[in-house]
Amino acid sequence: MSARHDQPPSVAWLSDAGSLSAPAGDEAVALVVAPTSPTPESAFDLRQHWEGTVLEVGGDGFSVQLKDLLNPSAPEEWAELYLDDVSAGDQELVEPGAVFYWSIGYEDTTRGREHKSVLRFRRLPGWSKQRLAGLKAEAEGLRAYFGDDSSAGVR
Amino acid sequence: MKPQAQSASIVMTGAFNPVVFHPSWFALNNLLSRRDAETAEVRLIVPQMAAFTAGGLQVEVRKERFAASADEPQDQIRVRDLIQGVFGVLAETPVTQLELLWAYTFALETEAQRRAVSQRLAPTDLWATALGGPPSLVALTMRGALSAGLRGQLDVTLEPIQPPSYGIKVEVHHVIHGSKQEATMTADGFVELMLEHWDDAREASSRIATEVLGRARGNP
Repeated sequence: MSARHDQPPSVAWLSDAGSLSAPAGDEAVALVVAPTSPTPESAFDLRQHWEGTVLEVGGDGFSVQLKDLLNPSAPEEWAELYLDDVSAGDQELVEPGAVFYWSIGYEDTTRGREHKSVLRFRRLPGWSKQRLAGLKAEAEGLRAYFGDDSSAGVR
Repeated sequence: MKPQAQSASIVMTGAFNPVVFHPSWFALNNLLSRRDAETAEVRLIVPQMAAFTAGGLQVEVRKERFAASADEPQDQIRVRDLIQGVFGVLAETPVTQLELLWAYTFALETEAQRRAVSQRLAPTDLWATALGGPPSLVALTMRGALSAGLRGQLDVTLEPIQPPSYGIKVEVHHVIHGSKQEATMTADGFVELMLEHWDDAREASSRIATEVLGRARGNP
């Protein structure tokens, strides 16, 4: 889907059905699809990639459990990271149970080869009201099926 | 053989309202950070189509399809998370098809190597007389079956890269349909399928691309 940077913007006509085509009547809308702005040529050479889970947050750091995504059979590892390693926009997400991805590698840019370490926290929305209502209805159905035995469970 | 570049895309086919999918909608629903949304590179947002890039992820929405992709290997898993997030919010959206696509670019050193691979994939002597000149391979697609239990098809396309670069692009495209009983399912059903099969599909794609290209280059 990425646009080529060495080409001028392309003009297309988008029909109401959404398909790009030649002009086809009054309902067709002329669009100028702008290319993405040129960025320095770069390619990330990924050397380490972990999926991490935050275990504990304290002071200026947090402890994590790491799963190697490039070598899934490798044993899990534990580490301590600094909050400063996390971008400002993601720091609010650092809490026990939060999942993040940690990529380490080299980036070849026009300036040369650079070592790079990037932490990105996983973002998932909260439950929607509709979804919560659906789950509640499902729970009610299960309760009705199995019977409401409030004496069951751990005492 | 290690690919020089690789990308991953996920496409949901259904009915969407593209104009809703502004980066600010993603930030509002905690699917993008505020900073990624503010620095998003918006190419187009009109009633027929929305297209932008934010935080290494590309999003393109038309009335009949929602697509997200990433060009860097470390961002591919975030495409999966984005789809899970979007269709967690829009769980009830009717969807007819899910596509998981990985594309790999393998560099070759010379034009002769590229021609040898093309020749092995599609022998040109079959075409030379009919086409009245030296033919060249543009693309070849083979269709196979998805892993057991999934409805749909697996398409593998090999496409020689035209000069001045030499190389072969391999696309492995998993097209997953709804269950036999329900051709149209809600999006959350397809998200479950995606989460269940993502790892296997990714590993299978990498294996298929490497193996097919290796054989096309004459490796046992």
